[in-house]
Amino acid sequence: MTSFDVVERVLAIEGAVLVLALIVIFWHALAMRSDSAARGALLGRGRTLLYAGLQSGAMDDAAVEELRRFRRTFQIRLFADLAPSLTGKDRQWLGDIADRVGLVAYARRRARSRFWWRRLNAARLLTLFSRSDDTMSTLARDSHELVRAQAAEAFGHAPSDEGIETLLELLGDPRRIVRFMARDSLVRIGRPAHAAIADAIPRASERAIDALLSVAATSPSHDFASALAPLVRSPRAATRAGAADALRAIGGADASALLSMLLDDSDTKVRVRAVDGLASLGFWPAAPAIARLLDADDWQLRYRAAVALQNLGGPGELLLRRVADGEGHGAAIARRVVDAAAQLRAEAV
Amino acid sequence: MTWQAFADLALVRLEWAVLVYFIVVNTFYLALLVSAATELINHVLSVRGESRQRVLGAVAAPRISILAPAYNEAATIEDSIGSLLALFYPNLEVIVVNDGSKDDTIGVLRKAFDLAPIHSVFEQKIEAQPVRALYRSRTHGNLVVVDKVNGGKADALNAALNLATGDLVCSIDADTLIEPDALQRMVRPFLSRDDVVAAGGTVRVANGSTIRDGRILDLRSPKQPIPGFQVVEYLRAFLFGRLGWNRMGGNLIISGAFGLFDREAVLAIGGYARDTVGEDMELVLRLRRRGYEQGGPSVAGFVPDPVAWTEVPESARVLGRQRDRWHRGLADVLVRHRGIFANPRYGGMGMIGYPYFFFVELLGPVIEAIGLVGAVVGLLIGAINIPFAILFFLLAYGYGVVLSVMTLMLEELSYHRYSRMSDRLRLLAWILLENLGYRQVTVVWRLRGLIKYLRGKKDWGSMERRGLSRAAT
Repeated sequence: MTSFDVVERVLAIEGAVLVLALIVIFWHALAMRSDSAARGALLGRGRTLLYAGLQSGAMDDAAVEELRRFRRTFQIRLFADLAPSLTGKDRQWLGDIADRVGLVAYARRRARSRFWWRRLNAARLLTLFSRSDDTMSTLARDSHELVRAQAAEAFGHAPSDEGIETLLELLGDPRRIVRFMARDSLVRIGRPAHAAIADAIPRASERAIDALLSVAATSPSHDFASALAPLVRSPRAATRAGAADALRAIGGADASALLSMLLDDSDTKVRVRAVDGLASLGFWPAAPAIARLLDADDWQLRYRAAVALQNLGGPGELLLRRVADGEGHGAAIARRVVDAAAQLRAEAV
Repeated sequence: MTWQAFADLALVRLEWAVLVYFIVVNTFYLALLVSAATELINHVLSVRGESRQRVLGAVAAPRISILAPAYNEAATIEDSIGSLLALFYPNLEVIVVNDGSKDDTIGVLRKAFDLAPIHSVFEQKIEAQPVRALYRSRTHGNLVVVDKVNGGKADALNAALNLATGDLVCSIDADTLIEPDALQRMVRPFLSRDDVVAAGGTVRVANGSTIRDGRILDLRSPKQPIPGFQVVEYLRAFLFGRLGWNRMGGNLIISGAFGLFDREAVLAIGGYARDTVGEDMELVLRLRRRGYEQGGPSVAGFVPDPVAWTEVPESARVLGRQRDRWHRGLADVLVRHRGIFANPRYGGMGMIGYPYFFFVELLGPVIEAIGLVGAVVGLLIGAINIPFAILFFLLAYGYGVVLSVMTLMLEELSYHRYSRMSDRLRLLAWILLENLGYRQVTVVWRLRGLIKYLRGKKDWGSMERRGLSRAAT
């Protein structure tokens, strides 16, 4: 074969690939255009049926049968468009209609597929229909992280005791997206999960404890207080920092006392969290201990301590001004914060 | 051997070397295209049917600080910042840095967003030019404005970094339009993996489109050739190049117009370098190096679906300066980080990514120029077979067209942004014409950039902008 032959053959292949790509581009464009026209009318009809049923609270067999005759992709599109806007009983109603149309059974079949994208699709459909049953429990243990994450999301929409336990397990998942979804779902569930969270805190793994404390900080409850107390002495700085955030969110005298203990922590970030927490709780008895931190080596800690004293009202301000009159790092940061506040007041006037 | 025979031999050998280079590079492009297609399929299957409203309402969503440097942007700053504040993301902070503008940028901001002075006490973690004043908006509590002495884009970004409180920081260009749900999409890699240090989205060309209130209402392909060719280049660069790199050692570039970074990691490496015009690529390389060297996160991922729209140069003069500057930046950054080259310590970045950027992106214009000149000389002195040269030219041209059309096909099948047949036909026309002069001119610009780098030229030059809000047609 000569070099001419090689070049000619390659050119022929290029030509064939080019023609194929052009056919795909224009076929797809034309298909989208014609599908769009047909889709518009059908989706409109489908929406009318669903809205009418939603308003009356019931859908007759004829309407269900009409929806059942839609193409599967249109059915999914109809329900996917409406579901996010509904909650509670309305969402449950939509799920019942989806069941009658056959979508729930379809999703359950796909949940057994050997292809992860089909199992993911099934999990997403079941989430839309607020179906967190045995199928979802199985999907929560799937080999693919996106499927597990989707199951975690589903449990947040339709909470149950079993679902909460599963979410707590998923907080220890090796994949971040699963932990994120589990954490978010527990926050959304709120009060019904508090008892289980308080039970889980003392026995949580290292990976799960950070997420659990973050949930406790975002969805605080006094139920957590006794579980948090031992954590301020945890050997792990990240755990102590997470406990500080949770204590800040819970508030109260006991939380303030525990936060005060953290002012002497060996880790700077923990001390910063403790300072911020005490300032936000307005716990002025901590002012002298916070004032000692104005001489800390870390700039951020010194600054947060100065701002905290300013925010603690009379006692804090007094201590801050006294330090500002002195020498050293503490005095410098105290002066900067005091001067900046004075400047702002002057500009406001 | 006569001089003629020697010249003939030298030319033929040279052309063979160029041919081998051509085959190796285009084989790699094919691998990159296959990688991009695989990645795109995987991505589409992952996101189909997902509820991004989840991120929108999630208290656990990481806080993002948008860093928006501004210099002499009085005409467009109100619209730009307004559209940033309207982004659909639950935990967002916008830090605008007025980098010593000579026009009334700060006055426009004060008036438009009802700014009030705030505490000017902050930790200068990264060195930057002095800050004159700090403001917070009374109407938008998550908007902070920094008024500082001029120091350039990198300096402005560093000043913003000193004040940022987000877990992640998003650098943008002042005249870039980010789509409302772009951040929800771009945060995905950080939610999915523990080893991500940077993520980039797609930057696309807005020239010729209808824009209102900071949103693209009607996307059109440009009617003028210069922006038209750039649409094709950007599609190839992002949808084919950057996506393909996700599976082949990761990206070395996250566009400065639209990138998301781990704030702690950026602070740990001292922020943006101020003495280079390739500060965005330089940052990514340093971040990734630190990850490899210290065992921390080192992945720079590309997410295809978050989109930022930008205005590209419409004149050859301005475009030439831009490409010149990009090539200087590339050369500078690759030389700074030459320790990565073929170094297994840096994994795919060192063994595949850096060598590619060095031999193909950096030296590509040199090889192309040698090949072109050699071909012309060879034809003139009869050292090269004319029919073969024609066939080979068709092959090379055809290959470029195939790659671009395949990229257009990926765009059509995945995002389908161009809804009109006329726009698709226009893009095809730009694809066909791109390699008949335009590409060769870009070789000249890039060579010029390389020569300037070798001569030690480091400035940005000037960039004329009409402003996206006036680009409506």
